[in-house]
Amino acid sequence: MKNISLLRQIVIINISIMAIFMSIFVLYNYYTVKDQMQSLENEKIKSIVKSIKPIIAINLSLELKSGYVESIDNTLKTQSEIVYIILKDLNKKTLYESKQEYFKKIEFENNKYKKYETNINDSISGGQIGNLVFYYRDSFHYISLLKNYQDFLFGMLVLFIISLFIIIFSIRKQIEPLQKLKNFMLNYTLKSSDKIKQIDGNNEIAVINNTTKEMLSKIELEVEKRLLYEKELMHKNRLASMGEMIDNIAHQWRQPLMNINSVFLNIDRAYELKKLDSNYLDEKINEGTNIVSHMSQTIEDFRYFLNPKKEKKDFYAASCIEKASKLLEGSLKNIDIQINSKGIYFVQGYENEFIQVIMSILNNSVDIFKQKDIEDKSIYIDIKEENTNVLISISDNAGGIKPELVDRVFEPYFTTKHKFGGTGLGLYMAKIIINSMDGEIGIKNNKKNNGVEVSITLPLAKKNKEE
Amino acid sequence: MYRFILSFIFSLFFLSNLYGAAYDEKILNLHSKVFPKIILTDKKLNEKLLDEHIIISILYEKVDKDKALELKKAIKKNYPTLNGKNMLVELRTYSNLDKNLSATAYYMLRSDKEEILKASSLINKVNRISFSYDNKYLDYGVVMSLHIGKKVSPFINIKALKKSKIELNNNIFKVAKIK
Repeated sequence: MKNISLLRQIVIINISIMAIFMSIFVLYNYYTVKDQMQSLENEKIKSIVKSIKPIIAINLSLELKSGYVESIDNTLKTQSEIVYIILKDLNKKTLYESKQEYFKKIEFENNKYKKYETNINDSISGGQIGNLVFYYRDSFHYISLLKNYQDFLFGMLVLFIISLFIIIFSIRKQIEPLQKLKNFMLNYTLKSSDKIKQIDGNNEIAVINNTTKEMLSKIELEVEKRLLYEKELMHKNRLASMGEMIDNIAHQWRQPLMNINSVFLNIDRAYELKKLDSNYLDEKINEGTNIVSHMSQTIEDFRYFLNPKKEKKDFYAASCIEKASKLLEGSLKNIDIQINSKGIYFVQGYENEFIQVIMSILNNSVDIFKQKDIEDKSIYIDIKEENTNVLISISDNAGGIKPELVDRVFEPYFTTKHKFGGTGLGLYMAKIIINSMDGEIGIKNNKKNNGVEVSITLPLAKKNKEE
Repeated sequence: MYRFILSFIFSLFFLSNLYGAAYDEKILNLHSKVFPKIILTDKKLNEKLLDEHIIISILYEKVDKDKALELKKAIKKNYPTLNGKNMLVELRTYSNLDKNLSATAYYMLRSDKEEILKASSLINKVNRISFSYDNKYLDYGVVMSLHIGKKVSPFINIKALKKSKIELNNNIFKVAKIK
């Protein structure tokens, strides 16, 4: 019943109860009336027997055969429901028997006729002198009455069915707003422009409808507030990321800048030593151009990452990890990164945001390595397929996280890196991004690696299946 | 002489036709079965017993003696006892009726009108049932006979019945034809 609609439940309950009630009523009524009519029929037969029995008895007592013959024949003539009469003496020898024209031996043999037997006593001296046996059938009047009654019951049944339809129609009409509400709720999304219509009145359906409408308005308002809040957080996070990027750019440009400086110094030195010729200059210009080109590519990479494209697309999970590693190349110096991918897995979602997630996780490891001053720094990244998902686990060997903090790391503004300028938004945003890609993110301690393990589960893109 | 012989033969023929020759065996046989039963319908039967015996008296004319004997034999054969009571059947001529009227009931074979009138009058006076072979005798004061038409039924002379103060079992009136 839990999965059956309210209308169907009401209809089933109504039909069941009314059907049971009607069945009991009709059957009880039918059999009561039938029994009463049958009893009247039997009484009628008894009454007939009672009226002719004394005449037959006195005729039999006086051995006036013509008397009892006439009496029996007259009874058969006037009482059409009496089919067959037998008069027997004490030795069961038939003295006289008579039957109706419609008497059928097959029906008689198959006990289709009812039997009534009575003793005949000597009217003068008393004492039994014979037996009178009547075979009779239901009278035409009885059959007609019973037929009429059956027609009446059939009529009742038809009325009952019609009334059921009226009830069903009426209930359907009554709960129509509820069904509309149900359909609305089933198809409801925050983006849908349809609104629940207000219902006038104070009945239960109107109250449910109107309070649902009110509740949805509140939810929509709350969601709007939350979206604004998340947008604000996202903006803050992006700013933080940009800060980190600038740090990284600065870090990555330091060496090329030194190299450019060195090129300039070399040109200057060559000029002083009169060794600056066109070949040497071309060589150094090429060297400088290559360095600038490399620096330009670095900027291009960061610009691509910061470009807020909001379209879902299929992307290769491992390449995102590589891109993130490259962007954090400066920070990840001296850290052994082991990427172990069991295959080529595509996931669907927002690639840049996913890179941001990986960067947040890697940055956390980098910060904790610094915080704990770990010498042999390692980050292990495993990518594998699990059911219809891609499971990406990123673990380090930085000693792990306190178990009591595990449940709080995804809360906004929660950080253990105040000294390193942690905002507490990295993992919170990571969770929002992964959830928006229909994925899950979790954190736990990895005893084997002696560090934290962040697990990301994302649905496999259709592309994988096609391939 | 010749005329005398003819008149004698004619008389014999006439008398034989008048009494014994006209009896129907089937009717007599039926009477032998019904009459004793009819006696039992008398509500005061016990007062009319003689030494606890039911006495049936068959009245006849001499010419009908054989028929009377046949009837007696048939009654005795049909009813060795009647409703647990011993029964005696006696034969008596109409001429001997007035000597003793102690029988329980009387069956009257054929006789002439005067004898029938006289006998029925005597029998009625002693409150006994009189039952005649011929139902026409009900016109002469006999209480009962049988009506034989399409069906057979007791034939009761209600006037004679009242006069004789005989009370019959009501059941008999359900089947009887009343005169």
